[in-house]
Amino acid sequence: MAPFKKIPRLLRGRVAIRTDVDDEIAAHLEETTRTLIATGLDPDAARAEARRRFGDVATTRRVMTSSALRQHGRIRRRDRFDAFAFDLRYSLRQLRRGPGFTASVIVTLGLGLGANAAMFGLLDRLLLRPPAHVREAEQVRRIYLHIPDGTREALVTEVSYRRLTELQQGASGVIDLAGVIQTPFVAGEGEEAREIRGALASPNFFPMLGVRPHLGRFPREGPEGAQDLVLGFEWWRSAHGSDSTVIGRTIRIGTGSFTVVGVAPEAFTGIEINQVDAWLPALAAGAIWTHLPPTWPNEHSFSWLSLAGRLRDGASAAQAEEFIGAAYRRSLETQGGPDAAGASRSGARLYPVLLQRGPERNDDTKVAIWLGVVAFIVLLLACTNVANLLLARAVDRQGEVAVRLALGAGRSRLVRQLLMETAILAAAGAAAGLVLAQVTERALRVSLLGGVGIADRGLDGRTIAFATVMAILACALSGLGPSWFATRTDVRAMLTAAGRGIRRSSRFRTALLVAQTALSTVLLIGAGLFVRSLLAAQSTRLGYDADRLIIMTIRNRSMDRVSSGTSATYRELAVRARALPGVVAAATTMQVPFAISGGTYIAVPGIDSVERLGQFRLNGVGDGYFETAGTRIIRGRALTSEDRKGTPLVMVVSDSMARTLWPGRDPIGQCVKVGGPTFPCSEVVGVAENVHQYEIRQESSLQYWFPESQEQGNNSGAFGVLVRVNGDPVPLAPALRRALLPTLPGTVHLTVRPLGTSVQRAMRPWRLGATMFTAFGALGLLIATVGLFSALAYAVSQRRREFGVRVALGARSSGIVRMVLGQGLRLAITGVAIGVAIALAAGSRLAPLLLGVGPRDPLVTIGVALALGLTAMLAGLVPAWRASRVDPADALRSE
Amino acid sequence: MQLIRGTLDLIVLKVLSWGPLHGFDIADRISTRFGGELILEEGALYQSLRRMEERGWLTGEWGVSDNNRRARFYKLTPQGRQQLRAETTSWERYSAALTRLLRAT
Repeated sequence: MAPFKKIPRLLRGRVAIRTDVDDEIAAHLEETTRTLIATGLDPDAARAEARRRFGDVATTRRVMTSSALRQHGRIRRRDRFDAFAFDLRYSLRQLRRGPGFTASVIVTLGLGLGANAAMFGLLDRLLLRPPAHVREAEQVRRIYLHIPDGTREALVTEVSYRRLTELQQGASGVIDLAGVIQTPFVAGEGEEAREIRGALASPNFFPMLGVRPHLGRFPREGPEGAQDLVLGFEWWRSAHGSDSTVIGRTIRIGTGSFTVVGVAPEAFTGIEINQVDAWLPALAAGAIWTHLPPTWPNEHSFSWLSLAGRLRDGASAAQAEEFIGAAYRRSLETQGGPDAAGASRSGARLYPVLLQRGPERNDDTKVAIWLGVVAFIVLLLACTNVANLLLARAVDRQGEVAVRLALGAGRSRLVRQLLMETAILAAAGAAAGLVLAQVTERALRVSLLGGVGIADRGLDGRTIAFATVMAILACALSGLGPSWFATRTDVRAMLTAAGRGIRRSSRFRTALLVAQTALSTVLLIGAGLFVRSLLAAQSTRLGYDADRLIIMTIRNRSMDRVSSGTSATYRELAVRARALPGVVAAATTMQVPFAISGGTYIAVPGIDSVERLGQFRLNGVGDGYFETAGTRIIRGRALTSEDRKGTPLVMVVSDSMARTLWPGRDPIGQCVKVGGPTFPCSEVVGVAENVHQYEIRQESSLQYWFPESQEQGNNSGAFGVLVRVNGDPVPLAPALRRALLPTLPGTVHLTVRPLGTSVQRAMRPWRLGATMFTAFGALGLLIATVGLFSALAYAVSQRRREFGVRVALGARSSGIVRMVLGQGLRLAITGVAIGVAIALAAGSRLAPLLLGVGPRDPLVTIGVALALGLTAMLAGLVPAWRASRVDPADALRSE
Repeated sequence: MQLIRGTLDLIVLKVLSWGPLHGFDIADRISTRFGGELILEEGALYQSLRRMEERGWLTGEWGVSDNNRRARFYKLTPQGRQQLRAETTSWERYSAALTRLLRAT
């Protein structure tokens, strides 16, 4: 037979197919010509006759070639599919054969991918995904203003309604500006009344975003739209049974009556991520906040609207900043007063529409970003571990691979098959991970974002797509190395020595183990730092006994109740509360820690421009405030019931305020003019310990207290009642509400909340960091420990013969134990050293999130190093013990 | 005599049922069988061979002809044999019916 036949046609490709066709036609023509010559024709005539008989050569060639190419393509596709199907079946069989291996890889990858998918789901929502239903979201921006504050620049996050109007007019050529705020509403009346998640927005907010209503329409511009109410889709579904006849119905919200004109589309949250139950036009604000004077829309004070806007076609962000800035400066000049002085240095800046991408990014998000990085490290750890497992398997399977190579299997085909196994594992891992992410993400969302009404569902296409990409990455990271290694097999050596251990893998495995230890070290150091921060936060003396306090606030719903009336109501409420079982003390307050605080101008004789020294927070308090709050008086006396309207004006200042105003002098007897230099002196009668009003991390506030009834600087009106209880406030709070609500007029809504929940909220970043870093760190440590253990166990099993010889030559078992342990420890020390180096280098970036501990805390670093060393010892114990128990006779005979 | 359209495939299948042949031989056999009366365009024959190979009725392989020249040999596949049987039956029924029709008075 000719050599041509040996070459399978499939391997010869398209050029060969054309040649084949040409050859065949040529052969035929030649043969015919020859036959004709034999019958006596001269060669030229014979050739012409042959061509005539054949007919149209070109068409025949074309038809044959395209048919052959078609067939070739089909066969190649089928072969590829067959190979794929074979690899798949073969891989599945291989994986079924090692269920332990398969399960551990899937679990490892599942944990790694699950952590990543969960973190991605969160970060996507916080930082990446544009708000739902917003058309061309990249054109929509958040706008922040700034005014000079001394030499620095103060961020203005909210503006008044009047300011919004002025900015809108000034910048309308380049940007369509709107204002919005999310704030609780009280909906319904009497017993039916409940708090819902509301939002006030300038009516152009909706067309600006490009959102279309699910039903009806959005509020109209101007006064005729002031009673228009749009229901949030979710609230419409839960409270109104998705009833489309709800349009036109009247609903009471706050002190106003509103007509339902539309329903917002599902999951529409404006530019925030929290669910909104009801949308009202900004002009309805007076019905929500009863303390606003009727003139509020025309005033520059009362700043509450966040700014967002859509750039007009062709307008740049820089132009918009310029126009808004100019409008802001004009507005400040119109306003006059102290802010007008800094107008020339004021301006505006545009940021992405997502809150967390702008200057208001909170610690929760910062921690979440870190956790995203950490989750990725965990995935890397998982990949190294899987790589290690795959490598061990590859070593075990060298015999099989060698046989397949010897039988003529191509290396690329083998790599493909081995990668297929990894791909199956990665796919199963991704599936497991997504299930895990579904659960974790919900838990994380509750802990991280407070669980308050994130409007959309957990797992979505974006998360799944991300998990898929990460699974492919994980597959490549963990599979390529071992697959490559597996096919590097020296066939002859393997087949003759029948599976004797190959040392080449050990260097790669060592590198993997060191990397694992290093990564775990980094994670655990992070965990340690967050745990210490959390402990520091928990042990911070806030200046009041948060875990014994309940705060009661009245959501006022009646128009005729002005502030002095509210104070009287609060005073009565305090008196009634004191009579209840479990209550130790109660007092009215103007401030609510982590919720409400305020300041006013003060003047101190002998000190120029007191405001330069900081922001002084005032609190007008009722009788028994200090005993109630548990705020300790460190000098002088507390305020008493004798200090009231008509008696001399007195105040208590915080230690930090005393030190700031009168360094090195006795604060008792000093004079502070609350409200400014034209107001009378209030005499300082006591100094209280420092208090944290808003931030645990921040230095304590500059704070002063005066009897509310004295209305110093015309500041009056309580905002709540602080109640001290002698038990756990959490179960007592609802009882308190039940007992007190009937004593109040029917139109008010009473909120009763343990203060501890606010404090807990403030500690969330550290709690979150501590919990998640510890969880991830523990996961990492577990992975590293298992990796080290299996590596040592494997090494011991490979060196049985050597240990046998050593024992036979008189080595003591303790020596062998030390040898094996030493091997593990050396790996661990290298890994820990690298990990500590990374942690020290990266630590400074973590510093802003820590409390009471530096990023290079020696206690944490040394502790983690010791813990890892100890773990390495433990991981080595069993293999070492096994090594020391090798029976020399046995070991030597077996080979 | 002109070839009746659609019958070339059947003829080729029949010729190949006697054993593997290359294209020139097939043309030669056909012309012999028809006593030189059939006008066969050889290009059409090759297109038919190629078409049937794509359909999986034939396989073609390069080999060496009797006079020691390189030639592509065609062989029926089991599928091709089945096709031959089916087409023969349907041709017989068709021609019988046609004959009956033409002889009818």
